[in-house]
Amino acid sequence: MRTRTLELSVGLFLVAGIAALFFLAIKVSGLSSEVNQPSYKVYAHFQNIAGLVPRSKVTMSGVTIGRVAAIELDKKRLNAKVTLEIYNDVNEISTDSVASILTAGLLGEKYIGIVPGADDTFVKNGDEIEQTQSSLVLEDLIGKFLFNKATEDKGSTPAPAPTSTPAKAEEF
Amino acid sequence: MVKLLQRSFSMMLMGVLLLSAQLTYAAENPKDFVQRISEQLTTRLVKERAAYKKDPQLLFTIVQENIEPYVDFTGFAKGVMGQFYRQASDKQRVDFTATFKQSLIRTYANGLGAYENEKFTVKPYKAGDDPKKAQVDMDIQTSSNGVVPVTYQMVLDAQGQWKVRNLILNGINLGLTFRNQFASTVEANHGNLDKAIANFVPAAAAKKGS
Repeated sequence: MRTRTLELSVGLFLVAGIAALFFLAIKVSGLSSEVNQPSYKVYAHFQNIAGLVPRSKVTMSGVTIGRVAAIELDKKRLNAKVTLEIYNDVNEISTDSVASILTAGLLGEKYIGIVPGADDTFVKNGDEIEQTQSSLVLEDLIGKFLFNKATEDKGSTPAPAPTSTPAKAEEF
Repeated sequence: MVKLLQRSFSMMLMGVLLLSAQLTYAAENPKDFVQRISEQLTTRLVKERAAYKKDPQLLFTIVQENIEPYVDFTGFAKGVMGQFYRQASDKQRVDFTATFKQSLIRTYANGLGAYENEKFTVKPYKAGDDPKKAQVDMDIQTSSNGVVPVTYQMVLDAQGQWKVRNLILNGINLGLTFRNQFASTVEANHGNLDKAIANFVPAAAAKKGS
């Protein structure tokens, strides 16, 4: 009798433990919270979406307002066409908003941040967010930094002066 | 009699065709537009180099004359104000456009002061879906053999003239960089738009962004 109660309680404890782990997994991946939220589709084209994956979050001022539904190659314009699913209760994305691909933390996952604009018209189902900012690829930034460093050490004048447009970028 | 009718008809047809040809040429090809204004500015810079090295105010005037008619500062400033445009009064909007224009021209002139006759290539133009908007890419060869990609985003104004609305320099969307900086300036000034407009400095914005 005692062994049976013992074994039963151990079994129940194990089931409870696995259930808790399962629950934790769901919570961390965020699968259940947004799976049934009604949303409308909005499109955006990016030159480089490096690191962005479907189901990445879409935020405005840091608050999640949707998810990335699909990413495909636009064969006509030769850039990436991203389909964003915005929750139905968010209707305040003005037509001149900018969608930019940001990184959570320094080397974290990529997500889309939408910065609202000044227009009085708002995007609806099937509209496109025209203004975008592509993902900043870490390798490109490192490359630019090393290149600037190299030219700075080689030339007698510091990096800003010999090249006009990096100067523009810095001073601009 | 018939011959006369035929002739007058063909003359009329030619006239209509010529007229429609004129109308289609009203909007300049965006690539040609960018080529033209860039050449205009660079030739002037090369020509008057000695003069503006002595007098920096002249450089400012040169840049202003070659930038002002081709940039839609009102539209650009509206984009930079972003969400705050709606809550700004007309006077604040006008003030911001004026100060933004001045600081933009000043920083652009400062950057161009180091112009050493770098060559630029305007890339072939591919029209998008909207005939009133155009995006033109350009590569600037820097003196250290690097290439700086620049993208001009332009809109067609009521007179059929292209006006630059935004610039993407090295992959960085400048309109967005300024918009973010303006938003944080407003936040730093606790929502006081007048103070934010007075304190907004685009140069600092671009330094952070690039």
